[in-house]
Amino acid sequence: MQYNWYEAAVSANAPRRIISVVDWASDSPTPLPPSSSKPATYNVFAWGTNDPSEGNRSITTENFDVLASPVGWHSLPYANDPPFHGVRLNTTEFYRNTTTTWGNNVCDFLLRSRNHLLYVRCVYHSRSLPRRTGRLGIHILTITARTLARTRHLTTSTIRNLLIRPMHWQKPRSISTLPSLSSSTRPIWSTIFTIGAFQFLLLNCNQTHHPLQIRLRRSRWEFSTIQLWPWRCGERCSHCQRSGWLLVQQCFLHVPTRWSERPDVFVPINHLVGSNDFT
Amino acid sequence: MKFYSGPTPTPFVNPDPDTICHPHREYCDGFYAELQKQDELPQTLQEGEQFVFIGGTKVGTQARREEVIIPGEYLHHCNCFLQTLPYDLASSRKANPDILDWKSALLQFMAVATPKDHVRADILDNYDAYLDGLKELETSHFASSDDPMVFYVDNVPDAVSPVKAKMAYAQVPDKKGDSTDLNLVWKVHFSNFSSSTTLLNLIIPVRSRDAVQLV
Repeated sequence: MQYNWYEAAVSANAPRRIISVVDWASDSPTPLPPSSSKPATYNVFAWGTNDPSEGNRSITTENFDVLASPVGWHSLPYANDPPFHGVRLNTTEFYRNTTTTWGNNVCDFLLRSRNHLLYVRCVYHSRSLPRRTGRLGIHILTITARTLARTRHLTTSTIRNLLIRPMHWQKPRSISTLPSLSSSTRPIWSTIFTIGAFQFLLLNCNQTHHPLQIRLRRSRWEFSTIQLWPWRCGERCSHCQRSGWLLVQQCFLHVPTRWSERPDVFVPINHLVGSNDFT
Repeated sequence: MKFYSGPTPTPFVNPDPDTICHPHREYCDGFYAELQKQDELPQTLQEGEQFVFIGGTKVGTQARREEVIIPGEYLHHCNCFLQTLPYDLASSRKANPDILDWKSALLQFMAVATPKDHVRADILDNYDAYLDGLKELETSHFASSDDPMVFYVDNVPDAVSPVKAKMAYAQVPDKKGDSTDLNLVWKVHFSNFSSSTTLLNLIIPVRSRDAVQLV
């Protein structure tokens, strides 16, 4: 009864009928029939497993909130799916079901302010990175409020390792002209990968023990940020014994839009699963 | 509904249950009868038409079972489960006819209200033990003798904090529906003060940059 706030009147004499009940809990969900559909499963590193040397992946089922995600993490209406805008549908189904994280809103708890912060934990392992031939492993875990609470004290001074450039930039700017880089964090290698409509410019520096952070800027008014944490810099992954493998778990980047007629854009960032093209 | 305007009731005497309206019981009985009626429809429909109109929509027999009967049974289970418990307890030896017996009223409400099936079964199995376990917390206050007597009950199964209880009159409609009667009730208030305090503590640091690190 920890989720209820009952105020009830019970008849004083037998039969003691319950005459009135008020539940002051405002977010108590309306009871719904248990869903017969099978929940989605993920082969992921469970919470509590800090890195691949401590444990293996395990099958975890989706644990969506029935209020926030009434149809789960893998369904979204065609009407709200950006790739289907203006497309004549061949189906009359209302929801589009996917087996990817398209439609997944696990990351959709961005702070509702101008600078939307999205914290993602990242595993980064490499040894003796040669100049411009560095290898990277990224391990993005599903975001929870716990991660958010842990990383909230970080300041923007950590935004200097990773930067993002929109695709229409033809080439990366010179490092010295990037305003969030300080002269003490001169990169020794860089690489670019594409996520959705963006290209991420990854810049490694000597201070790799600092948290990495991606700042994503779609337009003048929209910001999203991904926080990346380096993991055991200078070591190979003891789990896979590879230093160039990208381990990106189920995650989804919600890019909120303002001043735009288009609905919010959801960028799946697990396009990078399995990629090791970082040399 | 009109407000009660009759004479002052006789102290500690409740109106005859047969004269007052029982909306919840009537709703549940009607709901159950309708569900049974819907459940019996397929046999009669198999010979002739295979569809039935519900709410202006053409619904097949199997679809009707999935869309109407199964959710209906679940709603009935959620809203009407144990609705006969007060009458069952009243007819058994467990019921204490004393109108001042707040323990029976509170424990019976807990048995119906708890979402945990094992707690409910445990309460009904060990009814007397739970009844004895309810303790009135000793509180001292300076309220005048005219104020209603309010006390707190500890050791309530499945409650997160002591439960506030007081005796009061509740206005209930009579069977004809044209007047109301006063029913003496035990009002129980599950004030989750611990939860509300926790929520406040979580909200405040969001506004304070220094306090965020304490989260």
